Amino acid sequence: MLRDERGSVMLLGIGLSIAALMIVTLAVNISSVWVARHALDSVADGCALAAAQAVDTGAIYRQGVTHVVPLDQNLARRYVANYLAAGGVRSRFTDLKVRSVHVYQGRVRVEVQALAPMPFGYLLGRMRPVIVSAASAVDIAG
Amino acid sequence: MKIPKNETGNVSLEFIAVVVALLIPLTFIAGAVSSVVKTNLAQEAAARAGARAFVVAPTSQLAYFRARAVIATVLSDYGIQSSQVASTISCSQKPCFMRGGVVTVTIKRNFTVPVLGHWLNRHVLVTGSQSVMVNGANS
Repeated sequence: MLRDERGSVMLLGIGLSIAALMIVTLAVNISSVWVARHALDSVADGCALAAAQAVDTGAIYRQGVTHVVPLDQNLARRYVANYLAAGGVRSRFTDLKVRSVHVYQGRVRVEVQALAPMPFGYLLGRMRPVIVSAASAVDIAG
Repeated sequence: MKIPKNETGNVSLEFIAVVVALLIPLTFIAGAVSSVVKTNLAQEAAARAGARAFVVAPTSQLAYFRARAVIATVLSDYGIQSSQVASTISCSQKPCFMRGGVVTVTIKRNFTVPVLGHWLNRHVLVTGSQSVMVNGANS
């Protein structure tokens, strides 16, 4: 049994304050990352829709119109770049990058990444998570 | 075990201290954060649906009408009136329906965060936005 318990309330207060701050920081950071991830999903979706318009006209002339419209990989990359430049999308994210634009059998898959916004990121030092999102699209004839 | 006389009631005091100092503020902060996140998700979803409705419309007149109708419908699904938000539809090219053009739907809301009931309300500008390239088949 302790004889002298002076100061226990102070310690409790400091401990609780630190715990409360940590919980609030974590909640705000996680919410922020989650919202940004959702917004990045929309960007990936828009990129995929833009890339799905990169019709490979040469392939259509050679093979005729097929159910799944053939897409051109280089044109798809250009469309994605145009989309990001014209829509003012880059200004909404930090260090937004296109990881890959891949065309395979008429389907295009676009993967984008950005740095996650962290309102209390300074607590993590130099660690700053990267959020990645991907979307696919296909252009169907008819 | 001998209990000191001068510590009578400490448990209840500390419990009150914990509730007042930690749980009540945390509850309000959690509520405020979730409200902001919810309204942000609603606006993102509405902007996304509105932009998609715009670019697949056959004419520009119908596009504006359909986009606004879709935005109002999606927002109402989340319990938000369309009069509570300011939605803008902008195009990277004029007229909007040009191949390669990008249409951006932005929805802004001056959201009142409910902190401690109506005593300490705070206003936060929440923005949801989506850009979609105009469909080549429509241009």
